[in-house]
Formats: sequence, C-alpha cells, structure tokens
Amino acid sequence: MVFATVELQSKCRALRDYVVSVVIICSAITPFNSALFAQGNYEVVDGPMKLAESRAVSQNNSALKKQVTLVARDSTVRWVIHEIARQAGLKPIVNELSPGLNSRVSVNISKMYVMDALAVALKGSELEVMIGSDNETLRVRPRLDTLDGKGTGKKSMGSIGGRVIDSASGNAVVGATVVVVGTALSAVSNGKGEFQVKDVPVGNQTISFKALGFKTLGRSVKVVESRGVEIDVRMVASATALSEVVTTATGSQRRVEVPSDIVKIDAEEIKERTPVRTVTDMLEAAQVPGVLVQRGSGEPGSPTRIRMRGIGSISQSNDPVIIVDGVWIDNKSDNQGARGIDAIDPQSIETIEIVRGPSAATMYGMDASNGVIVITTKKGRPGTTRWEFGYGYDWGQISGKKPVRYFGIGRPNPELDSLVTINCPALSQVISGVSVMNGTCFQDSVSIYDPNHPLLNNEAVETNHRMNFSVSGGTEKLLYSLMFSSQDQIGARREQPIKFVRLRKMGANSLYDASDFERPVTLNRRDITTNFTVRPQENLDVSVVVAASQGKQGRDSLWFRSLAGLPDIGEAQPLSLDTVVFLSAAQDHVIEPYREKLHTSGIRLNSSINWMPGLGLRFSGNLGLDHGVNDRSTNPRRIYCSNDLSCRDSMNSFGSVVRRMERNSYSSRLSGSTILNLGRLSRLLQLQPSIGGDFRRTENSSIATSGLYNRLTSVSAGWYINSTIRVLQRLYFDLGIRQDLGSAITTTSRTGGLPFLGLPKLGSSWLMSDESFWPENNIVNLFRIRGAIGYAAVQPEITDILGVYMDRDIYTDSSRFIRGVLLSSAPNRMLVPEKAGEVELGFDSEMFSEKVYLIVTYAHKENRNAIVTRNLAPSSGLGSASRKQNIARVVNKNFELAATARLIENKIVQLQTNYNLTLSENKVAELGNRITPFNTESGRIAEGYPIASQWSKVVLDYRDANEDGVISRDEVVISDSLVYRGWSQPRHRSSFGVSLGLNNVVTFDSRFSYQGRYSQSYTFNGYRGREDITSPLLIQAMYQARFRGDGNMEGTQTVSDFRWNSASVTFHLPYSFAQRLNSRSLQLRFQGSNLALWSNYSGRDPGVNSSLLGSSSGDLLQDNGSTMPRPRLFVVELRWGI
Amino acid sequence: MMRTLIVVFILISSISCSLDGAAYGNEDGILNHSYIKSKDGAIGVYYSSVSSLRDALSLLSRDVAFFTDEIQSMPYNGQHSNSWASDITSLDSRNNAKLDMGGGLSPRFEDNLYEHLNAARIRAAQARVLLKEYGDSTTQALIANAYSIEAYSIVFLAENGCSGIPLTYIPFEGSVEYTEGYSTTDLFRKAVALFDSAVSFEHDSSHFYTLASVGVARAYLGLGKFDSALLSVREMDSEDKSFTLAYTDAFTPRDSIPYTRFWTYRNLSSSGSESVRSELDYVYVENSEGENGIDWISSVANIQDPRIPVELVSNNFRLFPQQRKFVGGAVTVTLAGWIDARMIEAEAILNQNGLSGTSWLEPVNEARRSIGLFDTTDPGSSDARVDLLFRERAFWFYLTGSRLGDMRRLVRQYGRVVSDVYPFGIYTKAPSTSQYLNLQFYGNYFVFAPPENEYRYNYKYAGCEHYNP
Repeated sequence: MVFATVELQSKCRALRDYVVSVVIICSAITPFNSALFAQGNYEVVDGPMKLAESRAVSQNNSALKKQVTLVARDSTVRWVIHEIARQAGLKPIVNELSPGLNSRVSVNISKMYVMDALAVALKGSELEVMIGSDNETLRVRPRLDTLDGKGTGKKSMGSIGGRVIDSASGNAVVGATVVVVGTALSAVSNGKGEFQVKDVPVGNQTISFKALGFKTLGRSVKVVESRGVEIDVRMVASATALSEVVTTATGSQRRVEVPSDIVKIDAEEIKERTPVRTVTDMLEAAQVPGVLVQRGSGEPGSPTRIRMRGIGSISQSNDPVIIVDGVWIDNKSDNQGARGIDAIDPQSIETIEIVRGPSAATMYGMDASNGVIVITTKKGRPGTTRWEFGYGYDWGQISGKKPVRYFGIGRPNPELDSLVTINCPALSQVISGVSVMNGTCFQDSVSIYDPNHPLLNNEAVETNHRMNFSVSGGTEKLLYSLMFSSQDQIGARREQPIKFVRLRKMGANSLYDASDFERPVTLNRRDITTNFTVRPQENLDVSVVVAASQGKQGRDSLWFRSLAGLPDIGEAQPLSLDTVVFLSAAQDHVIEPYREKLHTSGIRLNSSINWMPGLGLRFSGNLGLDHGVNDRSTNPRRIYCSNDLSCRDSMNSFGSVVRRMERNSYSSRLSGSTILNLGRLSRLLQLQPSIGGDFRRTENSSIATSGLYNRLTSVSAGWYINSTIRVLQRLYFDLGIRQDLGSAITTTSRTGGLPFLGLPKLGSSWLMSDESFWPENNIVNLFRIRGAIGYAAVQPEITDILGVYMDRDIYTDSSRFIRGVLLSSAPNRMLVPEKAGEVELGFDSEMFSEKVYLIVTYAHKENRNAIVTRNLAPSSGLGSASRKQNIARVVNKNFELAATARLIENKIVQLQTNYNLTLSENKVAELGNRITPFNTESGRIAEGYPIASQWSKVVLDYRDANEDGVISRDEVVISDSLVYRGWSQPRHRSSFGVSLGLNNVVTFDSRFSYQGRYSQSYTFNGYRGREDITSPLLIQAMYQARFRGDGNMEGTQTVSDFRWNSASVTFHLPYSFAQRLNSRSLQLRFQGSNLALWSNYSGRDPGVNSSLLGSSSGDLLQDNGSTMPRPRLFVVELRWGI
Repeated sequence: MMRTLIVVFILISSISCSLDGAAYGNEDGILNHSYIKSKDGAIGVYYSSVSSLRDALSLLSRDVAFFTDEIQSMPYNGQHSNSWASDITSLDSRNNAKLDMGGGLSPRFEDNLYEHLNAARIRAAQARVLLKEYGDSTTQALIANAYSIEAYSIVFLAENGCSGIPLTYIPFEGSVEYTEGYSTTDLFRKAVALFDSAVSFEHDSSHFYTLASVGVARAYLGLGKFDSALLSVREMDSEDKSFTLAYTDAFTPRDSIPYTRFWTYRNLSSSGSESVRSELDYVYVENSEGENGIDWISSVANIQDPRIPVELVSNNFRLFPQQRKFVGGAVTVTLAGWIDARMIEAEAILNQNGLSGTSWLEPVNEARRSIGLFDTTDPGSSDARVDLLFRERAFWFYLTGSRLGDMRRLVRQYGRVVSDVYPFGIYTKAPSTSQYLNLQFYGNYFVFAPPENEYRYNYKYAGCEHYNP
C-alpha cells in the first residue's frame, strides 16, 4: 500500500511558507510506485488544496526522479538511509528517537527511484521518510502511530502530529498547548516545536493551538484510522508585550523568558509623534525609564550624553555600549560633535533595544556595565519594491529670554604698585569680583548688561531641511534596502549686530561680506545605508550592511579684540554707557573673522550569517567595522587695523589649525545555540544552551594641533556560555557566565593570577498568571515576576595600566640633542576593570482585559572597585600626574515604572496614555583611604554623596549693620566649607503621554515630562548683589558667598522643571486619494517639540548644561556665555510611500 | 556554499583577531614599550634622568629652585615666591614664607624641585636596570653614570630634607612603589652604597668619576665620616674633571622650545628673542640676613670676591643686589669638581687633627690661589677655624645648594647652637614694591619637609621623624 501526503498552506503568501512533503509509511510492504505518484493519486488531508497545484509542485520535485544503486550487506539502517540520501543529493535529517536505526539489513538495489529504494531498504521498519519541499532534505522519523514504541496503534483511532512555528521568525514555538477541541486530548510542543496527540477519534476534528504571545489558532483536520495526520502550523504573535522578541545571548527570545527588563523602541512610532533629527532625539522622546539624555547645548550637532541607571564610575566612561547591526561603535573616546551615537542616521533605524542590568554583560562583556543600546537598521521585505520619500521642514526658535547680567565698573587700587599688573587698569575695564575681594580693584558702580537688546542679541531662527528617500524589496532569496537621508540645519545663533556696527565704524566693510556671518552655526549631513540579505537556503541568511555618513559642522564668527578705548558705536547709543564700556573691553587692534569647521565622515560595514541547520541548532556570526574621521579646523584669519583705522588682511599670518581624530573599531562575533533533547522530560523541561565569543579591536588616533600623532589600540575578546531553562513554559531560568580577556586586563593577584575577567549571572522569570493557583479574573490577566543578579564591568585604558612613556629631545653635554624617554604617566599594574554587581527585581502585568500594561523594576547596582584617579605623591617624580586605583565603592539605586493604558480602542477612536517614572539614588559609599573630596568638570566627588554632586558655600547669616543698604563682607556670615547642594542628575523623572487616533485618519499625540530634585550650577545671571543697593539684601549676601566658594559654585540651585516635550498631528490621507497618486500611503505630519518649559531655574534651560559633559565634549560650538537652550521646534513633514 | 561562507568568515575574523596589537602606538609622542626594551630606549631613559637633574637645578619652572638657596626673589605677579634669605631659602612658593614663622608647619620643599630631584633619581634607577638588561658593552659606562645621578639626587634630599624622606620608585612596567620616610642617616648611607656601585662600573669619562667621588664624599660628610670622605677625593687634582650640567639656549629639534636653558632673570619670548622679564629682575641675594646672615654684599664691596658676582640695582625703592653668577640661558653649572674636593679635603684634615693645626689651610689656599685670591691664615682657635672653613665653603658654593647642609652639619657635627648658625630674627621679605617692604621673622624650623601632597597621596608616608638639623 502506498500512502503519500502533500500539504499546502495556500493562505500563506510568502513562497517560503509553502510546505510540500511526501510521506512514505514504510510499514507498508508495497514499494513506492513512482508512476502512481506521477498521477497524483494521494490523499488530501488538510487545507483547501487543489490537486493540480500539488501535482505541479510534486512534479518539480527533482529529487524523486533520482535513481540510486546500492548493494549492502548487514549494514545499519542508518547507514543505508545516509547512502541513499547521498546518492540522491539529499541531506538526511534523522530523528534519533526513531526505532531501528541501528538494525542491520541487506539491500540490493540497482537504478531504482529514490523513494522506491527507500521503501525497499526500510521494509518492515517502523520508520517514515519525507522529502522536503526544498528538494534537499530527507527527513526520517518514527511512524506517528508507533511513537509509543510498541507499535500498537489502535485501529479505531488516529493520531495528530506536527510542528508549531513562529510565522515571523520561523523558529519553533516551544510550549504551545495543542488541544483536540471537544475532547480531553492535548499535547505540548517540545523544544523543536513538535507535538503529537495520540488516540484521536477518526473523522473531522478541530485542533486548538495556544501559546503565550501568540494568537490562538484553530485548525480542522481529518483523522484517518490507524494513521498519523501531519500538520504544521504557523502562529502569529499577539500584541502582548511579553511576547515581544528581544535580542539575547541565546538569540532572539521572547521577553517573557528574559529576566531583565529589555525595552524595545519602535523607531517609526517615535518618528510619527515627535521631530527626530538624531538618535538622541529618538531616545529622549522614548522616555525610557532609567535612561537619561543630557544635552550640552541646543546648538546643531552639539554633543549629548546618555546615562542608564545613574553613574557608576567616578573616572571611567559612563557611556553605554552602542551596537549597530552587530557592529560595536566606539562611543567612549572623545565624543566630539556629531560623533558617537548621533553619527547614526535615525531614518535608517528599525528598532532600538535598551539592554541593562545583568543581561547586558553576558552578551556584550566588558564595558556593558553602563548598559547597551542595540540598534537595528531597516531591512528589505519580500514583495514588490517599496519606495518612500519624506521631506520635513523644521523651524525653531529659542524660547525664553536671557537673564539680565550685572557687572561692576571699577578702577585699580591706587595704593598698589603699578609694576604689578592689575586687572582693572582703567575705568573702562569691567572688574571681577575676585579683584574687589582681594583689594586690587575698587568698585565704583554696578551696571546692567541686557543681552536681549537687539544689538546684543545673537539668537536667530533655526531652520532645517530634512529629506529622506528609501527603496526596499526583494524576493525570498534576496532582500535589499537602500536609504538616503540628508539635513541642512542652520542654528539659532548669529553674529551680534553690534559687531557689524563696529566693523563699519572701522571702515573695514570692504574686507568682508558681512552676510557670511549672519548664520554662523550650521550642520549639514548626508547618510546612506544599504542592506542586502541573501538567503541561499531557507535556513541560511547572509546579510551585508554598508552605511556611510558625512557631516559638516561650522561656525563663523567675528572676534573683535580691537577698539581700545571708548568707541563711538552709533547705533549702539540706546545702550547704557556702561554696557558699551563692557563691550569694548579690548586689548589690541585685531579683528578676527573666525571660522571653525568640523568635518565628520564615517563608514560602517557589517556582514552577518545566521544559519539554522535543524535540530534546534542555530549559528550566527558577525563581522563589523566602524571607521570614522573627524577633521577639525579653525581658521583665525586676522585683520590688523591701526589706530587710523586702515586695515590689512593677514589671512595667512596666523595659519590654519587642523586636528584630526580617527577611529577604527573592528568587531567580530560567533555564537551558537541549540535545544537539548531531553526525551520524555522535554514536555516538562527544556534546555537551550548557547555559546558564543566575540573579539574587538579599537584604534583611536589623533593628530594634535602641534602635529603630534598618537594612536592607542586596545584589544579585547570574550566568550560566554548561557543557558535558558524552561520549566513547564511558565518558569524560566537564565544562567550564564562570561569571561573576558584583553589588553586592559592584567595578570595580577587581584584577578587570581589569570588574565581573565569572569562575569556570572543568574536570572529567573516566572509567569505566575499561568499557574493553576492564579485566580481567573479580569483585573490581572497576565502577571510575571522576574529577578536577576550578575556582574558587569568597565575596563580601564591600557595606558592606565602600562603608563605612558613619551619621547623628548634631551640636550646632552656635547651640545647635541638625543631622543630621551620620559615616563609621563604612572602605570598601575594592579588596576583591574571596575566590576559592578547588579540585582534587578521587577514584575510585568497586563490588566483589565489587556488594556493596561505595567512594568515595574527595581535595580541595585554596586561598583565595589570603582576606579579613582588619584594624584601621585611628588616623590614619584611625575609632577601633577595621577594614576588610577580601584579603591572606591559606588552604589546606584533605581526604581522604574512604565505604564500603558489603552483607554478606548475601537474602529473610530483609539485613546492611549502612558506614564513613566524613574527614581534614582546615587552615592559614593567609599572613596578610598586618604582621598579627600575633589572636583571634576561635572561636580564634586565626596564620600557619602552622589558622583558629580553640586556644592557651594552658603550664607549662614547676614545683617545690614550700618544700614547703608549694602551688605559688605563684614556683614555676612558664610560657611567655612562647601555645603552639599544636590545631585546634578534628576532624582525624580516622570513623563506622561497621550495619543488619540480618530478613524485611522488623524492621530494626535502629546508628551510631557517632569524632572525634579536635582541641582544645577550656572554662571550666567551675572554678578547681581555686589554692593548694589538695588539688590535685595539676601542677594547681596549670596554674592558675598559666591566669591568665597571654590570656583563659581555660587550659582548652584536646586531645580525642578516641567516640560511640554512634544505635540503632533498626523493626517493619514485617505487611501483612495493616495491611490489616485499611485501611492501606497500618504502622510502629513505637523509636529512640535520642546514647546514649553516651566522651571524655577535661574538660567535658561536646566536640561542643557555643557558642564555636565566634561572636557571631552568638544570645543566646537561651545557656548562661552550662557548655554544655548534647546530650541522650540515646529515641523511640517510629508511622507509618501509607493 | 555554506561551508565556504563560514570558512571565509572565520578567516576574516582570524585576521582581525590578532592580539599582537594589544599595546599602544609607536608613533611620535607615546612610545611603545618594545622601543624602551632596547638599547636606544634604555639610553633614552638615562638621558631623561640627566635632564631631570638639570631641571631640578635650574629656574626652569619659574619658582626658585635648588641652586637659589641663597636667592631671594619676587618672581611672579606680585605674589612673593619665597623669602629664604641669605642663608636658607624656603622653596615653597605656594605656602609662601609663612611656613617658617613658627606656625606649626615646617617649610616644605618647593614642589618642582622635589619632583625633579625624585624624577632624576627614579629615572636613573630605571635606566640602570634597563641598561643592564638591554645595553651592551658600549653602554656599560652609562650604568655607572646612572648610579651617580641617582645617588647625587639622594644627597641633595638628605642634605636639605628632614629626617624622613621617602624614596618612591616606579619600576619599568611596574606600579608605583611608595616607601616610608628614610632618616637622614639612611639617605646618606643609601647614597654611599649607590656611589660605591657607580665606581665599580666602567666609567665613560673622568667627569662622572668626579661626580661619584665628590658625591660619596658629600655623603660621608653628612655621615660625619671624614676619613672616608678624604679617601674619596684625595686623588682629584684637576679642575678639568669637574662634572657640570650644561644649559643651552638652543631649541629642541622638534618642539622649538629652549627646553634646557638656565632661566635666570631674563626670558626668551616665544619667537626666541630675549627680552627682560620684569618680575625676574628682582632675583637677588640679601646681605647679612637677620642675625648670623653672611655679609655677601659687603664682602663684595670690600674685597671684590669673584666668587660672589652681584650687581647693585635700584627699583625705585632701594638698591638691591642682583646675582650675576648665572646669566643668560646658556650656562654651565659645576655640580662636582676640584674645589669641592679641596674643601672636603680641608675639612677632613681639620677633623683628623682635632680642629687644630694649619695643614687644613693648604687645600683652602690652593683653591683660593686658583682664582687669584690671596691666602687666608689660621684664625687661631678651633671654632674660628671651623667658621672660616664654612665661610669659605659658603662663598665657593654660592648658589649651588650647599649652605643649608653646611649649617645643619655645623649643628650636628660641630656642636654649634642653632641660634649661632641659622639666621634668625627680622629679615626683609622683598624689595620690589612698597607693600612688600614689610619685615618678616624667621621661625624655628631647620630643614625642609616633603610637600603637602606627599602626606596626602603617599599612603605609606607618616611624615618627618623630626625636624632637627
């Protein structure tokens, strides 16, 4: 008897979704008759299949036409199968549970069709074979009706078996519950997605498939007596957040299995509701709990900082790791201008994953302690070619006024010796408070500088033209996408009009075209990203991504260092004389049209392989290069003007200064995972181990202004073993350990004599709501708790360990120079990477019929060997050099909450809100023996207080004793030492968003945020209070305190702010209208960002502070007066898809 | 195809996976360790030690340095650098002169001086280790030189520092090794041992032999071992063998910086032209500072002693003496020479004879005659002989950083009372401006302590054992 089955799932549109299988049940004694097969005489079991179609496909099955010849004596069945498969050019996939594989048979076959040959060879066995639709695989497994091993299939019953597959990824769906409706019969899919239900009554049956994260699926089948029905189903993911697939060491996993909170950001969703010009914009708009985005300035291309769950390191980088399509982006060193994360084209991004906590370390190793940002760019999709065009016009304006500035006018102390240069030599000189305090200057009056005066205000409208274009598409075998985007931004800062007034007064107009300086801050960038994916086989992907970017930042300005004495400035007359005097603080007769440029260019290459050979195996490899160049040039062209105002251009007298920074980052990665077959246990327990390794090499080189060329190279490599354990598909464990080695890990006693760094982790996730004890209710539909503990690390620089030897010309006694070697930086061979332990606990819950989704996480992170840069004792002979030591302990605590509620959800109205909350604590628990508090660019480091805390001296008491209306130095009591004023990072951050959709035509969206309990220091609001009778006494007293503090701590202020972050209206033009334009979609967006700010901050924008960025933030576009706030931005954007 | 792809992938990975690049770059600026582990690299480290010693003994860093222990200056912007008057110089510019006012803090070494001396010592120690490992027969002599530089730096620290000076070391490819403080005696002993090692190696020139001989003799003097000191210098008979440090106005080939120039009272502008730097015009030596101060200027006026070249200038307030011993950026400073030998010889003979007799005068007068000075005669008493000998030393070693060590030995080895040796009482702080014409008082300290940061950052350092001479 011959029985063959062909199954087609005609509902599936993609070609790869067609499954053709030919099944021979070899307990039958009749050899396979190929002629019969050719006539299409076989039984349709499932699905609305047409016979003609099946025949057509089957006739194309060339493997069936292959003939084989085999003479074997006393050979194993396994060998015979393999030999037949080999001759037929098929790849055998053998279920090792199949009985009789090692039985011995004798076969004599000559030029027989392959299926006939198999029928002969397997005669009498309890095996069945199938040839895959790809014509390449030969599958061998036990006969369904003999899977009980006894071969006693019940004649009145049949069985149903098959495989459950995720329709999106093609992966097996593990733990799916398969129920024969109306009966008590059920089964659970194993690690390969396979299931089997035995003893099913014959006839038509309805089968229900249910799995977490997937839409429940029903299928009807016809069960034939004593036979097994084979059915493969593809389940579609449901909208449940826990079913979302995220990237982990094991590969792609559903969120429910991951013990840490991994956030996945949909780039398109963000772009639909807020203007996005950079990845930073995108991250900020996402308002991910625990992720803080800090900006140094509101100017185009200004650098930013991203902090996840606080600051763990005192002296090392706190920047997260950035991975783009598997390529490691070196984000740590000198993040200047449009570099780092903002060098990535936001238009090319599909998703961003935020990985924090113990999960990050196993996968990404060292430096992942600060979290990982995994960016995936868009790929093509099979089908017709898609074209997309987008154009956006941004219009920005600086919000709020600059605070008025006060300053004193004075003269030098006449009692001082004129031989000593005193910084108040003439009445025209603005004096500093310090000079008054130390008695070198006398103050005569207080004046007001109004920076908002039209002649002084240098702020303008900001504009930006954004354009992007993409084309994507492909077939099953080849997917492609090409994306191009560009933007030309002109910043909201221009040259001060008063400078042009002066220029004309000096008769120097002919030397310039003043319009060159009307828009002095610019940013232009072009990005192109291409992505090709080749699928030579269904189980093999080869992707190549090439991304290139080119950017240019510029700033033109006019520096005046001329006009000594009091000028006649004409139009400036409305200003007070004092102000004019202030502006004319000039030392010589030089005009400098100053031009700064930063050219950035970069290329990112990535090739990756994903291979799933079957049996649950999955291998992936990745090879990437990130290359970037920054060319920074300044062109301080000088115009010298003599006293008679005759000017000469000496462009080449000063020369041009060029500095180049170049980075190359090579990264490669190999990993593999499998699902272990635990036999009968597999229904209860599944193990999915994975193993992987990666390698990274980064080169950072620079050419300084002096021409000095430096290159630093660091290398690191690591490997990990990770295992996911699934118990009853409700309880998940995640165990892993990673070891790293590299140029910054040394062999010391502290690492146990091994040049390795071990990073273990353990996590668990328990889907409690699937337990039998969980009460059925409509309040909490889904609930899982999770917890993880593990270690992560941040490595020091190799130069911190080895020290730095410089060369220097040494003069010898013999009147010549020799190349000397000079130790200039102290080594510390005992230095080890900072290793932080982190505990993360939380729960996820879906409530009220899946309308409310809640994620709550608490994270406690402790960096026990934080590296502190410690000055060296002078007996080291290294002057003011320092060295790093692992001597501090830093604790970060974070409470994070994310809630989403779909309040109304019908065809007409969709109303959704979300609320995010982050509460943060940070403390330097220990600072190390003999280390006194010290200041950094971001703030003060003191034991018992947060990293980068703000301190200042404070007014303890004041009284106008002589009642002259002025608080003088002897009328105020100021604290002797600095007093803690707060943390520079907000301890409390909340955000709220609401989105309203109407009839799928119009969408309204608006977002708000609150930041509180943090301190900022500012210097802008001048010197108000200095012996100024018009100032309140407290302000005068505070003034006295500020100049008794260390530096300019006087402006420290506890701040809170509430911001209207964004609002958008999106019109989805009617499909009919789009069709008329031959379009797939047409969208018109009106968006605004940073719309309003309410704050008690005395400066302009507490969310922007260049001092938070440190010295590595770059010197281009730095503001030297007040920090430029973020502009209020309006956007109109048209998106057109074909 | 699959296999091919994997093979290609692994091949590319392995190319990029070379761990050889784990070190850092070898371009200009930062040196690869492999370069230092070579003969040239070891030689380079040796020369950096010479350079550091030269830095210590110059006015390189705008602060008054070691040579100027008799110089009073007003170097920068009205902020008085130091006021260690005619005999002792407080070298701590940051703490000003208040440290010696009996306020409870001892005067501290000026940071740059202390650091440069330690840099010379540490780099010399590194150099000798590297030279032994990576040098060859042609670099053997440099090992001896390195020993001498290391030892001589320690002698300076011992002569001027308190009892309790740490000798931190940084081995090549090692970590910083802090130490506790060494007593003055231990420092001299360590110097002697290092000098002994130096002379046991082949020397490249007699100059370094002189440095080792005079250096060990100075160390022996510090230990009160006059016989040993005499043995070390008895053989020296020629001025030509002096060890000198040469400074130059020449620009370094790459950096265009006159890196090793001896910065006195004139300054080179960035363009290389010499210009007067007004602040440094007031580097001077005060006359008869406080009680006991040496009458430098009056001696000049009376006898025109060529050993004390000064020039009286006015700054609108009063006349003050500018030193003219080291003028300009290119000078040669004698660190150890024939005069040192003669003075040591005279002191040893005087002690051998129980501070009596006249034979000790022979080397003294031999030295005087070499520059045309008349012979001096025996003053007739033990104390007077010691006084005369140490006055001779003061004049000979004017501006060479010897006076404090001599005063300490007068107390420690000759039983003098501090108040008879050290200047005390009132001294004039600076002559430059009216506001700085205030008078100051000497305090009660007799030695220099390490800078404050030594206490702060050297976790092994507990401070000076004592501050006695």
